[in-house]
Parts: sequence; C-alpha cells; structure tokens
Amino acid sequence: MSEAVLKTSGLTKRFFQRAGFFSRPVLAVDGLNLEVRPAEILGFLGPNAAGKTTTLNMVVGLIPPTSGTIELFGRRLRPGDPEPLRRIGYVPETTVLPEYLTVRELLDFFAYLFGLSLRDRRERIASILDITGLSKEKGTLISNLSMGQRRLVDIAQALVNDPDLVILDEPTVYLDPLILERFRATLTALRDRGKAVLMSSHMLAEIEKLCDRVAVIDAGRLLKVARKEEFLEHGSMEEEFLRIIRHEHP
Amino acid sequence: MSIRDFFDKARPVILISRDVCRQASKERMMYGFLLLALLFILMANVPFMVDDPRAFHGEKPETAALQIGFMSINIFTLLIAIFTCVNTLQNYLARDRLVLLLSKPVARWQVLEGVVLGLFEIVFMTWCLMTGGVWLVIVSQAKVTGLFVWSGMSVTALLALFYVTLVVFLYCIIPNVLSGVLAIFFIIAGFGASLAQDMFATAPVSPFARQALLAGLQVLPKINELLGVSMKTLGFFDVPIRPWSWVGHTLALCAVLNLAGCWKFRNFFQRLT
Repeated sequence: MSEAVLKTSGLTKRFFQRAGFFSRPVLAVDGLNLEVRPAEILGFLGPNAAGKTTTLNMVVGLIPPTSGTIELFGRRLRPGDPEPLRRIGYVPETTVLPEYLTVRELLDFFAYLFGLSLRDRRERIASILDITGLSKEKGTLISNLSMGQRRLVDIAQALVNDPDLVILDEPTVYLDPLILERFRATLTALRDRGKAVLMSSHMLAEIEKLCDRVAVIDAGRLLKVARKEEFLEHGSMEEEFLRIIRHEHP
Repeated sequence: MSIRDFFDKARPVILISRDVCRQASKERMMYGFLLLALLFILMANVPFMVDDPRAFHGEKPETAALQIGFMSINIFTLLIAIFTCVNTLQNYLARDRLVLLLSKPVARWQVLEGVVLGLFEIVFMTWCLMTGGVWLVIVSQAKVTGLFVWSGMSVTALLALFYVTLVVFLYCIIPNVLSGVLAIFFIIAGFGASLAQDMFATAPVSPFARQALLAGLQVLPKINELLGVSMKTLGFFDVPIRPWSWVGHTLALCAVLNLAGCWKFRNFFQRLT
C-alpha cells in the first residue's frame, strides 16, 4: 500500500465557546485517526457540528490542534511552518473573493504566491480555466459572477499549484447539475493522475458517485471508515449513514 | 540568508502589499478626504493674493502658505491613514477572505508585513499628492524651486507610517472599528507626551516610580517634537532641535509595533472563529 499523503493521529481540538458571561469547553474533534492515500477520493461525512470543518481547518494549518499530530506527505505539520502546504489545494466552506479582481488576476495572484514563473502561471491558469469551464469568464470581475461561478473560482484557485492533495469543504453548494457533472469529471481526472482528494459534504449522492472510501464522523469521533462498497452492502449511502449516526445495526 | 532566499521571502510580502494597495484604492472615503485636503491646499494661494501684510501677522506669503499646507497635510494624513486602514483591514482580514490566503504556503508574518506595506503605499501616495500640491503653490507663486517643502513635509510621511503600524497592531488585538478609535486616542496622547514628561520629572514620587512613569511615556509617539522638526525645516522658527533622535524614536516605535503585531497575528484566525 502507498504511503498516506495525509495522516492524523489522535487529533483533538478543544475550545471554549462563549455562553453569556461564561465560556464552556467544547470538544470539537476527539482523537481522530484518519488516512488519505494517493489516487483516492475520501468522502468525509458527518451531521452538522460533527467536527468536519474544524478537522479540515487543522489539516491546512489554520488552527492548531489541542493534541495529536498531522502528517502531510510524511512530514509533520507544525505551527508557523507553511512549507507542507505547498502541495495542497484547499476549498473552504465559505469564502469571500476579492471583487475588484478578474478571475484570471485572482488565479495569477495565488499562482504567484506559490512561486510559479510567468510562463508556468500562464500555462497553469489556461489549463485550470479549461478544466473548470471558466475560460469565457477569465476577464470578468468576480463581482459580476454568479454564486455558482464563484464556487467554481474557489475550486479553480485550489488547483493553481497542481496539488497532490485537494481538500474540499462542502464544494458542491451552489453548483447546478451541468457544473456538477464537470466538477465530478475534474475530481475523477485528478484521482486518475494519482492525486488524493479529501471531500467533506452533506450531498450523499455525490459521495456515493465519487468516493472510493468514506469516513463518518460525529461529535468529533470517527465512527467508521470503509470502502464505499461496504457502505452500500445494506442499502443506500443515506440509509447506512443514518444507521451509523444513530448507532443502529443493519 | 542568500539574496535568492531574501527575494523568495519578500515575494509574497510584495504581492500581498500590491493587493492590499489595490483594495485600499477602492475606498471612496479616502478620495473624499483627499479632495478636501487639496481644496485646503488650494487656499494656500490666498496669502499671495492679499496685499496687506497685517492679514497674516506680518509673515511672508510663502510662510503663511506653507503653514496652511502643513496643517492640511497633518490633519488629512491622519484622517486618511486611520479611516483607510480600518476599512481596508476589515475587508482584507475578514475570516472568509483570510482563509484562502492562510491556506497557501505563506507565513503569517508575511501576510501582516504585506498588509502594512500595502497600506503605507496608499497613504504615502496620498501624502505625495498633497505635498506635491503645496510644492506647486510655492513654485508657481514664489518662483522658487522649493525643494525644502518635500523634506519639511517628510516628517508627516513618517507619522503616516506610524499611524499605519499603530492601526494594524491595534487591529490584531481588537479586530473591529474600535482599533481606529483607540489609535486616535493614542495619537492624541502622543501630543501630550512631552508635557507629561516634564510633569513626571518633577512629580513627588519615589525615584523608581518616576523612572517607570518616564519609561512608560517612551511608548507614546513624540508628535510635538516631530512637528517641531518639520516646522524648523519649513522655516517657521529656528530652535535647537535634534531631528534624528525623534525620527529614530518613531522608527523604533514602528518596529516594535510591527513585531508585536506579527506576534499577535499568529493566532489571529482563531480570534475570528
């Protein structure tokens, strides 16, 4: 088996939530052990407030874990060391894109942050615009894009560095069926090129269509990780998901 | 560190500063203040049009014109710096905006330095326009090269750098409009710093307390002294004043605020979560 591109061991996040004058401790993620391997799409499922976004925020170094470790490409992620992020593409749950830039300018900004040369940037951006179907909108100001198109720009910016691991947090929100089809093709093509994808979503149908393995998390704890076929042994993905969350047996 | 390493580290800072500058250039309030400042500076033509020397207390028209320009630049640099900084920071360092930037291989200090540099660039551009306005008045009316106008006003540019670093530092602690209000209070306190220093020096307290009070005053900008340096260069009066000690003090304050801001910015994202 290939070495995991992402490995979390005992990942825990505890923070304090304000309640009036006082704060109460909340255990958002509790000892999470998760692996993402090359050339696979791992679906990351869980009900609301299960700890999915907190986990992903820790994986990309936005917030530090309370305890536990994160290894990216065999290298431990440490606070203040952005180097492991060089091979990652991240699509956050919600974003505010700079409205004064055009699509191409925004992609060029992020590509330049990765240190790509002018020629590489041009080639890369042209290819991403083609993949995401944004070629016609490349000169359009972001303020003039629809919500679905903005979501596509979110996805496009995550691909500017040709990442080996793509992390997507609820990426299919606002996407219409036509764009969804293109999105699925993009992810499948990435997997076929040996890239790893970690996708958090509530859209069980998308998870069922796209993912090779599925991880289910609730109240910060990992309840099940298995191949998609195992999930579908006793019915649909939705039925199995609900059974796991309710701790029922088939 | 090799030159290549230095440029690798500086690249994201410059890139972010350009982006911040572009964002800040969309601030309409800044243009409003700039327009008002230029109108005030236009008024610097008036002393050249009045024949009666008593109208300006016997001062030469150039001096009176410079005084009008100097006051306009002082007031409007402060207003432009504070309002532009707070508005831009609220947009640029918003949680959903920052998440994209921080998930890239960019160190947090690079983001913050880029923000400071970008904000200073835009405020400096407005300073150049205002000083250019005063200089044009002097050149056209007094028929002199008037290059001293630029060096005389340069203290205001230094103060602009201080205002920017102060607002950014305060914004890292309190990420809302209150940081701008606090910055204004801090700057007002800076005007009274020299007076307070004289009072503390003769206060009937223990030597330790006196030293502590005097040391505490060092964190305030010495705005009166800096303005004095500027006025001397512009020829309003001639007093023995050491420019470099006050300039050095302000630069040191900027550096300390900058470092403290970078330190606070390490967990800035969590404060927004």
